[in-house]
Amino acid sequence: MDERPEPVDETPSSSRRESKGLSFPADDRGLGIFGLVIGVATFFLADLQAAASSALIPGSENTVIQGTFYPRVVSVLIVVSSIVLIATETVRLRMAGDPERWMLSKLPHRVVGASLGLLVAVALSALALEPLGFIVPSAILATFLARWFGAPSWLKAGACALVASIVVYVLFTVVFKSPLPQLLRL
Amino acid sequence: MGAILENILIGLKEVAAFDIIGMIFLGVLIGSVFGLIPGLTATMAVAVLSPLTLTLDPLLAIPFLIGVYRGGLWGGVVTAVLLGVPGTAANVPTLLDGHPLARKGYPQTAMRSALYGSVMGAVFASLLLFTLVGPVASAALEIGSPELFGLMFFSLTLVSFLSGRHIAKGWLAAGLGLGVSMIGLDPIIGTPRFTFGVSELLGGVEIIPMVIGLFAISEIALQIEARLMKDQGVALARSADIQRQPDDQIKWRTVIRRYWRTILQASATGAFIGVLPGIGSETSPWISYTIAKRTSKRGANFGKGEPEGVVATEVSNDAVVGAAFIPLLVFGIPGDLPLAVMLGAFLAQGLRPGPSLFRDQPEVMYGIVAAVLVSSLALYVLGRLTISTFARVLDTPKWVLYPAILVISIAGAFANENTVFDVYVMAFFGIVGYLFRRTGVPLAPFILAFVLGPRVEQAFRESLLLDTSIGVFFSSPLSSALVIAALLVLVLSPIGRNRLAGAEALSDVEPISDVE
Repeated sequence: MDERPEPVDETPSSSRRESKGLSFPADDRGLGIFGLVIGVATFFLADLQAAASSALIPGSENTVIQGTFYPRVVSVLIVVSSIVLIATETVRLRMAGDPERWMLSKLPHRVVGASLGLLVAVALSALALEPLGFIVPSAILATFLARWFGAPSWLKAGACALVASIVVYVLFTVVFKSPLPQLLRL
Repeated sequence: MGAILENILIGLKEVAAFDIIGMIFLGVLIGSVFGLIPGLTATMAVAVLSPLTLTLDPLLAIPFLIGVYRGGLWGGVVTAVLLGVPGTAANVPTLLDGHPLARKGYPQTAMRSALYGSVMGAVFASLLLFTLVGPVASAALEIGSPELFGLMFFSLTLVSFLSGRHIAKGWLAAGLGLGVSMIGLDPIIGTPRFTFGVSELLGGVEIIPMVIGLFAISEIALQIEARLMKDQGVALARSADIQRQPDDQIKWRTVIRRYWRTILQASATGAFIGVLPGIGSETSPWISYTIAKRTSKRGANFGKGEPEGVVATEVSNDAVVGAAFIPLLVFGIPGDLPLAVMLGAFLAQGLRPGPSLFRDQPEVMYGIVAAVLVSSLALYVLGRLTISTFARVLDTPKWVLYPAILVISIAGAFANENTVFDVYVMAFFGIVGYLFRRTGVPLAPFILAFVLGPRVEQAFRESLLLDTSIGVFFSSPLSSALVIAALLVLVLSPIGRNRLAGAEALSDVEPISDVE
């Protein structure tokens, strides 16, 4: 138990030199700038929220102020941690001259695109759940995924996806009486 | 001591019947199946099965539901460990070490550590139930909003210890988690906040689709990435096939001998949080995990597949369950969401929990307490019988496993609230999880802050309604101590971290949430 094998190195070092990274600033300062934008937006949105609340419930100014105060505290937390992130990364850059590049930036565009493509496909299949029913979008998505992960043929991938979708549907709707969209709606 | 033994004997005598024990076993089994499916929670299992128990005797119905609840939590552990998909929100911290351990080829070790931890936590809490049922619940009732805020604030500062190498990234993640938790209705005024006109967001962001997205969907995206890199001839741990290790076993004695300090710590933490109404089972495993990571000599291994991390979270998870029965049985205050549902079953059975019920029907009440203890036995027996079967899930080819996880995730997200919107939420947080994990932002502080956020805000604002000055948080010794302790953690943890960094030179500790 104590003698565990070392995990395989996850860093794609060989591809680091060969593959082109993303052009987006790919160190922690970029993350800090993103956090800063979110924090400032939250701060001002809290004000809009307070104005809307006082219009809805006149005379509740004190409560409304408290309602604004908490989101502002959260936004300050986001802003401060973002500034600290930018500052520490800048100091690190000056001292070491080597920014800590995100793993994202070390990957080829094609890889990041495929991963994000899956997530977009999930969102699209969610769109199709109600008009087409549960089985069509989930089985199509699962078929492509099965093929992607090395299913021996399209037929086997499709069969696996169909069976998985039907089993999951029956499990949820029949066994646990948990509602899902209609099985098939064409 | 004599009275305690007498209470234990009364309770055990009541449940020592074939039909009651059978119902507890059945409940654990059905609950486990629920917990195995992401999106179906222990709460949902208790809610769905409560109506089926209306015609049963109270000493059959309630022990059955206790079994369902315990089984639901265990099922979530199995999926968290084997697939990296948390069945319930309380299982998320178990995933942090359980899944990497399984991926290293030790799925049985991971699940056995979790099982033994669960049983030990539950036994501890059951004994606590018998002994401290009255006095602890009375003390918990004395806690007001300022004290509750102090406790929540202190819990939130634990983010500092969950942030891995980058404390600023951890706090950024925590800030974003708090931000997401603010979406919905203002808890005091009741007006929409940060909903941008989307009616589905009025109830806030649901945690189940969110964690399915953050963990399961982002995991599939990372698997796709790993496969593409493998095609390019780059070896990635994620794409490597899992080789089951021949020494994939761990014994009771080993767990107790190696991790007894963590077991005691996590039991005490879980029990303490369990008796406080409203904090919930999701908080306690995070706190126990963080304390264990901080205090254990194996702390540096946490997040990389350390069995002690699994034990810490599971002991705490089950200790909280047992302890949460104290305010429920004595005062009718549910300390947890599934127990709130179970309170409905109590009332439907004509049992109105309270001190008078202990006086009028001690057999039933102590029988229910004993059922919590017996459910641990059922969990142990069924867990041991099924672990090796469940472990074979890892032998399933990826082209079968990942499409199945995707379909289950979509169905689970939908079934959570019976709406397609939750599938969008899942997809959105899938992107967030992927980007977080690829930019080194730890997920643990994000989820901890999301879970604590509404409770922190509620306690904070209710306190300010009592007294608008900040002095309200120093109005009692307990709240003062908690707020000061939290501030000390905030100030001192970066200093301690810098010293540690100096001592360890360039040692590289990965963020624990980046489950690889």
